[in-house]
Amino acid sequence: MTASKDPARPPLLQVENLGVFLQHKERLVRAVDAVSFRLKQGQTLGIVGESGCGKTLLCRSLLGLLPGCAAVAPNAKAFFDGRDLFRLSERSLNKVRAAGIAMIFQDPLSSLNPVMTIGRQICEPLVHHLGMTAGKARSRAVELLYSVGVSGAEQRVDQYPHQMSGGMRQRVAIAIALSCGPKLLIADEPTTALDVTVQAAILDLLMQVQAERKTGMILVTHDLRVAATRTHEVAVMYAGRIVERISAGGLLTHARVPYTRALVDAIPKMDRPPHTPLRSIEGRPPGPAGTIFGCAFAPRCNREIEKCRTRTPPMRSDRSGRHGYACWNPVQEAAP
Amino acid sequence: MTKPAPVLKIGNLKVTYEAGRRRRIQAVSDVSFEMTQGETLGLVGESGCGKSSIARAVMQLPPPPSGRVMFFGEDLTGVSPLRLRQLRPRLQMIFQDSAAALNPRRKVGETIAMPLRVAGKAPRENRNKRAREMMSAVGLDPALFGHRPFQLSGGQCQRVQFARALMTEPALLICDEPVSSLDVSIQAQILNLLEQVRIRHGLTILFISHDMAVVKNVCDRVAVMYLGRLCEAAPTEALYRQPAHPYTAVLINAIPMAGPVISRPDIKAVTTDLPSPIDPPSGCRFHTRCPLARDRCAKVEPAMESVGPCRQAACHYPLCSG
Amino acid sequence: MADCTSYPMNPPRDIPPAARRKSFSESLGESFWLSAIWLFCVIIFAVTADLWPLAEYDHMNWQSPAAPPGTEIHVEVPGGGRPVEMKQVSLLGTDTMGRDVLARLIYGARISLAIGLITPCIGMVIGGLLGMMAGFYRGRVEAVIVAVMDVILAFPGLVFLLAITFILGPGLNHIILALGLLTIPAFTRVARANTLRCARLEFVQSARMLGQSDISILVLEILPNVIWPMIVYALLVVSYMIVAEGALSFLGLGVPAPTPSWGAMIAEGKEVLDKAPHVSLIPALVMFLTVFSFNIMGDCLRRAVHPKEEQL
Repeated sequence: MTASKDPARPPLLQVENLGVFLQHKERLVRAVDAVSFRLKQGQTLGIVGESGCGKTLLCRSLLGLLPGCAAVAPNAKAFFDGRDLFRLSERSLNKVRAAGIAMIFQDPLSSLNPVMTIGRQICEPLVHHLGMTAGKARSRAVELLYSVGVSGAEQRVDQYPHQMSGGMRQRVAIAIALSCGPKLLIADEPTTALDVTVQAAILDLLMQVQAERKTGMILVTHDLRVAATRTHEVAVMYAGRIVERISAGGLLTHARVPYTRALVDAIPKMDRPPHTPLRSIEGRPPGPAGTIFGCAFAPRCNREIEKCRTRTPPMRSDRSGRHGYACWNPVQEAAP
Repeated sequence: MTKPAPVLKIGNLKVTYEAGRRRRIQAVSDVSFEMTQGETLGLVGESGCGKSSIARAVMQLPPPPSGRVMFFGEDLTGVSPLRLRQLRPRLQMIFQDSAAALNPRRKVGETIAMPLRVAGKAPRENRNKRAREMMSAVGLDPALFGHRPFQLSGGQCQRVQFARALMTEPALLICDEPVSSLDVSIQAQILNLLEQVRIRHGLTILFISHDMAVVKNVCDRVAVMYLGRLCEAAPTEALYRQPAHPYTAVLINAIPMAGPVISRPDIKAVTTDLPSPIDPPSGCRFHTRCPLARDRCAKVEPAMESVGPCRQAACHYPLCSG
Repeated sequence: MADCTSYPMNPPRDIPPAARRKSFSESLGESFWLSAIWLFCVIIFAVTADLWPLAEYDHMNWQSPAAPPGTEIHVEVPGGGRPVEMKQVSLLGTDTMGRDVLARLIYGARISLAIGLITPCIGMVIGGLLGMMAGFYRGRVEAVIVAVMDVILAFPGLVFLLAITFILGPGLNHIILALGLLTIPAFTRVARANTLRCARLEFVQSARMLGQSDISILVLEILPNVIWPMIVYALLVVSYMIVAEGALSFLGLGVPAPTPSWGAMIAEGKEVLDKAPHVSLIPALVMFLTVFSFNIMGDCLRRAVHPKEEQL
């Protein structure tokens, strides 16, 4: 898993200081706070976090799909192909959607229209964005279905979503996302609702697609093992902030932020005997909060020091610049 | 001295569902296994394999059309309704979706106290007091007594389920995907709670899950199911180190993790097209997806045979034998 | 070195306020309370009609038929054993037979409210029971109940009412009975739909696991989840029934004279609509406001109760 070999090329997506505000129980809260990252072409960024950490809102904000009660902070920037996504008009943003950035959602049953055949659903973006004729769009749809591993595509193209299995539906969703040749794919927990063998097959497919088309990919997941094996770089989110940025290979062994370490420890390990107690984290992940003083994880952290409750740790990086962590008291030694 | 009767012994269990007109799905076909006192048995498989149907059949909700469910030597399918009601408190179940498993219109404290109310044993103050004690025991703040389920988080709702199940002091606890919808950190908390509770109450646990990593951590023995039939049953360590049935190998390989831990990491399913349960494949049900299938597999259904100490597998060409 | 002030709030200025979770009484809204006040007044007046200094509702003033509001008329006020004759200002005028509209309105409210409030109760109890049984037991029980309800629904209501009135004779009780029977299918539907939604959820299975009997499950687990939708629907049925009574009286099939009812009053005034519109319009307005209030209350209640339902 090597990064792009051309350091001079500008990144495909550069997000700076992204914040998303949400109206929650009469208060204005920060669901996403000061998120910055960059993604190069052909690379996969994994975003890992538990429920409520803001990862879904983060993805939706990039495509302008936020709900009515949420809005992006005014000083946020997201440069895609040289243009700031948050400054585009709705028309220009529409052109970016599907043809520039495409999204794959968690539950294919609800992300596909139940009363339209899948053929029509794949043809829609082809006709709308690429201006294809109906006949050409249909044959392209069949090609796309074959390329995502749907057997018997000529018959399947006239079927409805409820006639297919979960894995097949997710493949259709991927075909729709790929139809206009996007440069960036955002996959929001694409395999959470699927069986385990199908999960592996879908993730294989996504990696294959990326290798063939050199698309950039943002893979959102709550499963650290998936992030460690299927991405190049991982960003760990907690309470709306990125707390650690680390290469995928180092995630399970060299994490320095106590939260990341705790998450890694909480995963049931394959090499331990049954009835081994798991190291859990006390308490619950926080819901959206108004103002957080200091580190959001401090109340649950076993490495808490005095500074943690009053001052928010900034993102610092190690000497190579590739491992970033936001912690006043990071873990020094590697995991066994 | 005779051996004590196993806590649970399933014999030739069959469960069928109606699907539309005159079409029957065999959710479970001819499954047999047994569980000894204090054991945690894991039942794994993907969706449609019938593991939830087995759980419901054991609980007699509804009673299975054929087969035997022996609970401490008594056949639950054959006892009188009165005897079944007497036995019910000793078998309890925990469901995956705690939002659906708790009455949304009732306070959680009252839900926990419900078993005592049904048994008609204690007056209200005693019931509520015991409910509060149980809440503390499972890690819930007793001040949450008056809350409704929608005011609690997923992990807290699971704890409520545990509290309710333990009120009747069951001997057998069936957990149907208890942690599948929880975050990793909460999952760890609930699994630790399960372990605590198992030791404290001397429970025998039937743990149903599709997550092989969780099962490895929780169970003493594991039974693997595919499309309504048992593929393999073995002690956990042996099963994971050296699976006998190709489907087991496929399942273990599908776990995303850095570094292989099993002996045959190369085995992957040929296709992800799952056969329909209405019209299962002939012979061995897994042969359409098995990378090692041969002619015999499509014609003859394999029976569960011993492939090692305390191990059985239903495969004509098991990956390890004897 | 950064503390939280270096992460500026900078919220966007034009963020729209989202719906926040209100308490139950807040989410009912002002219109609920306004409607409740109107209905409260109507009910109070109807119940305490005898205590007010009203004219006799069947005393006909042949000198001033269809008199506009504010006319002075001779009335008989009940008091001290024998009715006393005196002059009084008729606040709302008189109808075609010289009877005081206000008095007839208030006494007529009794009829309309009796029909409006009792018939849904019949429907709720019987329909709710049948609906819960149909949704819980399924199979043949459900098939039979649904078939019977379909027949009742398909049967023309007016013909049914005519038949009942013919067989049993006219009278308030018979009308209430007939209308009540006609509301049963709708309540059965509501109860059955909600029972189906709940009965397949796991908490019902948990109840069985504890050894609860069917009846105990129906009462303790399913009923609390079914009762609120039925109450909300019942409020809408109240308004239908008041209008239905009005229609029946208009057709002459309602409560027999001289008992006043709003529908009968509207019917009686139809001949003089051009000369004395107040005879029909005043009872029509009162009926409209009452029906409207019940509708509003039903709507507000549904909106207030629904968020909790969504927690399922």
